[in-house]
Amino acid sequence: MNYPTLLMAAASALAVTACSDKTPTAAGTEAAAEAASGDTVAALIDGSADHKTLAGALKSTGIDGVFGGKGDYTVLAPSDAAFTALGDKAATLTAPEQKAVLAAILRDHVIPGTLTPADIGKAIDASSGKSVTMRTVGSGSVTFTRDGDAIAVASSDGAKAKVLGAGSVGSNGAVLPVDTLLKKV
Amino acid sequence: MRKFLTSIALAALVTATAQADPGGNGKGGGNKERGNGGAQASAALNGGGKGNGGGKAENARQVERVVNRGPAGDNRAEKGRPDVPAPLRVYDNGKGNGNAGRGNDARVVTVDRPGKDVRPMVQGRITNFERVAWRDYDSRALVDGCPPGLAKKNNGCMPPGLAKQDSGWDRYDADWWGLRGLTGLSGYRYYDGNLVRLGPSGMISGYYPLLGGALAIGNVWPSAWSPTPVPQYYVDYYGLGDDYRYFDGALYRLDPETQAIETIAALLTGDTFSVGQRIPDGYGVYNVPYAYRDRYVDGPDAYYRYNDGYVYEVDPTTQLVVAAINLLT
Repeated sequence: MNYPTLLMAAASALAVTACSDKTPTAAGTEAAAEAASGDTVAALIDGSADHKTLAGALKSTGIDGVFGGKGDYTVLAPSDAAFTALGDKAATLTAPEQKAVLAAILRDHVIPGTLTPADIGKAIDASSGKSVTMRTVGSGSVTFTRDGDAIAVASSDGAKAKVLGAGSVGSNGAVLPVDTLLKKV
Repeated sequence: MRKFLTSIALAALVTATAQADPGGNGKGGGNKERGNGGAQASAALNGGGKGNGGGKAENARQVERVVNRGPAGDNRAEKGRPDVPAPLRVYDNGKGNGNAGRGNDARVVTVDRPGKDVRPMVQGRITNFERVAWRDYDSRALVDGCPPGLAKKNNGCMPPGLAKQDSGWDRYDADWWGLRGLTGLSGYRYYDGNLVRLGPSGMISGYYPLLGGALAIGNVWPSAWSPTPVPQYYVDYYGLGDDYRYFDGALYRLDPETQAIETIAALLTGDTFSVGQRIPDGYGVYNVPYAYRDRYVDGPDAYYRYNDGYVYEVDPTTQLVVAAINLLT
């Protein structure tokens, strides 16, 4: 992907392991030390070679404007392959008369605030159940767990995905690529 | 899709210093209210047009349940509609910085009264803050009647083929859309940008406009949903401009002349955060915006979470919200 890679993620993940006995005291410190991209979340998605379908979906529903503004959001960004995996449903989903359906799906991929893989990993490790939940601005929430070296995420309706790579942080939030849509369609 | 509600009125959030200001002059959430359309809203909506606030100064410590009445100067929107308890209440503690947290400990008084003089909020901690869950009002959002486009066809609000639609998305019910208050109820279908309620004969008996559908950019705002008083903080924080609407967890900017939707300005969770109350579920990860991460760092005495334009300070031991921090600069 074309996102500016967050080297911070890997470095922070190591730091988390080393400092897990101190959590949650260090949350945010590593992240704050890293400079976020000056691009908005909308620009980050627009500039990604792996998220053309998502970028088009955000534009067609008008939701892209949300990510160019003041509010701070993390987008769990389904890759183009995630849409392709829907087969015929993808064409239906992106049809003009289905924009409200598409908008509802996209909202379930949006979390308030800026999340990084490092922050998520740290929270998972510090939690008693080794999972953490975040509200979306859609109909429910998403739950993060570790899956080997990766971070897995599941929506409240049972859809599951993996977070791909380190993602990127912009001026008004973050983009975390995922390999599957987080709403059952 | 927001689980919570929608066409509820948001009380205007007024911030002043030290004490609440006696009835000032201001404007509410939306403006240029055009009154109800043909359909009668099941939701209790509120006028939010411009007008005079009136009223007397309130005791800043008083906890009040504000009824969202449109200002007296322009109250057309709520005719014939029941009052709705304010979904957002903020009241002052008169202390300002009673906690050991970081940030600008401004002495802030907040009153959520529509139509009062609205002054810009200063950045600072609000240590007595309560936001009621807007979602509690969802069930009142469905509008009785026929969607405007279909109503023009004069076919008895009986869209051809709707009852036997089976194209996939149409089968999703209110649960799928996350519309609290409608969940668990049968007889809802997606049709032409709305979630519609079907009567026994297959005729549409009510509808609910959906973001990206009936509430898409370029569409004129449905007249059945009058302006709701959006808290001034949101107007300032999200840069809503002169004309705007809140509906179903989304803030829209409108063209003041045409009332067409220009942009979707923000998506909100609408979760309840109240000082002294436990932080809602679903905020397990540090999510403070980058611009504030040097200031609001999790530590042994406090941790911080962002939601809908505020950073909240939370006691790690009790999980109680200690302060709401507004982010206006």
